[in-house]
Amino acid sequence: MLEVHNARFHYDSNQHSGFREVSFSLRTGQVMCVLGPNGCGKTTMLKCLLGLFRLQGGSIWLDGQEISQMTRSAVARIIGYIPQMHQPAFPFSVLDTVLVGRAPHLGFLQSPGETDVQIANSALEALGISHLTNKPYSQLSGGEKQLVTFARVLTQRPALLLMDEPTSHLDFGNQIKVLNLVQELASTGMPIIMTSHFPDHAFLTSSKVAIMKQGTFLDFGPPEKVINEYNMQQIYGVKVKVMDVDSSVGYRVCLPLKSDFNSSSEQKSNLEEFYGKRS
Amino acid sequence: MNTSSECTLKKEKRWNAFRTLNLSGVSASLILATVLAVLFIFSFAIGRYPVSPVDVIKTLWSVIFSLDITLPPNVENVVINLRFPRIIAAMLVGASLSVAGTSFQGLFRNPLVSPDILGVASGAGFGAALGIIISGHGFIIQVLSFTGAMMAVALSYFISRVVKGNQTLGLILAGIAIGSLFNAFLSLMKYAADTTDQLPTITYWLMGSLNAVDRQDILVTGLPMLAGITILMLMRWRLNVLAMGEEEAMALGINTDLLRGVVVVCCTVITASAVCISGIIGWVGLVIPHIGRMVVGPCHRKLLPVSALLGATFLLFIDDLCRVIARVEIPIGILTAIIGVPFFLYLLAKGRRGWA
Repeated sequence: MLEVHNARFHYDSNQHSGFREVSFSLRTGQVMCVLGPNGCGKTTMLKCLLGLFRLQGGSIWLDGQEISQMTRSAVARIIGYIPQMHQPAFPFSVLDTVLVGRAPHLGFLQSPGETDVQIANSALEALGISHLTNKPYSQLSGGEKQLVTFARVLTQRPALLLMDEPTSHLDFGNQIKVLNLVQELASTGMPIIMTSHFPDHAFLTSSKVAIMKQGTFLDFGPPEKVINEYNMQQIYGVKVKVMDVDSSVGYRVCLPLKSDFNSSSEQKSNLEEFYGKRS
Repeated sequence: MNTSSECTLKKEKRWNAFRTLNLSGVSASLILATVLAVLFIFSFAIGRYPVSPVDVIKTLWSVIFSLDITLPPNVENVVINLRFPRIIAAMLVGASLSVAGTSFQGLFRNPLVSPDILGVASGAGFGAALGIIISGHGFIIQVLSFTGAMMAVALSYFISRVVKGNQTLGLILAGIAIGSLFNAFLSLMKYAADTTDQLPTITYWLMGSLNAVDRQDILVTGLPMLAGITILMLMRWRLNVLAMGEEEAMALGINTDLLRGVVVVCCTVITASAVCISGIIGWVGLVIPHIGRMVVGPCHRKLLPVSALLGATFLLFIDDLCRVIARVEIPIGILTAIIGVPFFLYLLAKGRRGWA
């Protein structure tokens, strides 16, 4: 489905931005989670996969076609994208917002017709948010907004999904709901790549995990293998404990260790100097 | 508990009020078209030489179907030769400025943008002043103001292409810079102008007027205006996609560079064509899109036709006032602001959700 060979991209001559030596492949129904600190190149990589930026080395193959050889709308008919933040400039209704997903399927002078509205409505229905159809998107709660974004990307009818931190800005309950949705989509055979800041989210949803630091993959593989104490220390600089939850839950969790804060000597001593020790 | 349910009730109420305002595109367009048609006939009737609406319809009827109907003397001359070009011009200019304003607000994702944002008005003003100084002939003034407007926008556009990073922001900044530059050129022209004759002409031109429009002007500028409006109408849904943000639009398969280019060219052609026969008419392109959004909501599929109709109606109405309100004709640019601003503020206070 998707193959990436030795991809490399940098913003204007700045060798420390962007990413390099990235290779992986993704098959039907696989969920790949990309973990890494802020600014490690996760979002940039997603944008290259979308064809928004042109690679400076290597290649990206989509269903056997090189992505740089495809038109933008051809790419958009295959790849759906859920961006990190989404704020339309005007208070469009939910239906109008969702209909925008039909753009790659319509010609330059075409606008959505009956069929497109039907697709949009059934996407809203599938996500259980038909009742929001005519509300202004800007008045929705964070969780509802994210569902609408999902409806839009489903309306696009892509074969592959990219999500940039789909759980950011959501409360705990909505985070889990979104992750369940990701799983559900994957179980229909949709390959998904998502970036995240939470190792636990990878345990919950993913079949593959890539951990990224300073633009390269440090490790890549199944979450049980990749998310370990050493790797987490490497990319986030904090000590964690990875352990199996009891068999009734049936998966692993990654816990930051509290003691680490106290022994992180530099931070502590500076703050103590600043505030003075209180009794 | 009580307060929260009260709050949702309030929200629900406000929402319902908003929804009832949100007419469907077709019904809003039909209502507005009817209002415009009535105003159109009425506009022929009023003026220094009153004509009864029945005679107006008879005259138009006889001209369209080349019939021979006996009418009071002079009626045909007043209706066809004097008022017809002016009424058509008011509608075309109003529609053009409103469509350009709506498209630019969508393109720049900003409700504070007007058609002047890329320097059209300053360019046109400079060109017109130059024309007044070197020749004073109406046609030369029109050609130069059109050229000046196109040149200012072309400069803004090409400078923005050189700017790295955010193209939309680059375009706005370049537009502001070029606008000031052409304003300086305009001041230079005013300074160089003969103060007894040319300077007043420049000043009056900058206040805007449809007084001097004739049939020739309509033919020459009407075509580009209609062409630009038609193209924008055909691709108006894409403005919705663009309003989601540049990167999202690209991720949705839109060639944003091409789309932005087409919108800028169309808006500039229609605005420049309008300005070169009317002079500077402010406010219409900024306020009509907002009123349109209050009527049908922000979706450009409904909004653009409604804006065009609202703009045509508004400017025709204002031009009628210019003709009859005082013994001397009032420049239209003055009245669009004096009537438009309070009306707009009233709507802002009353209407609930125009933007954001």
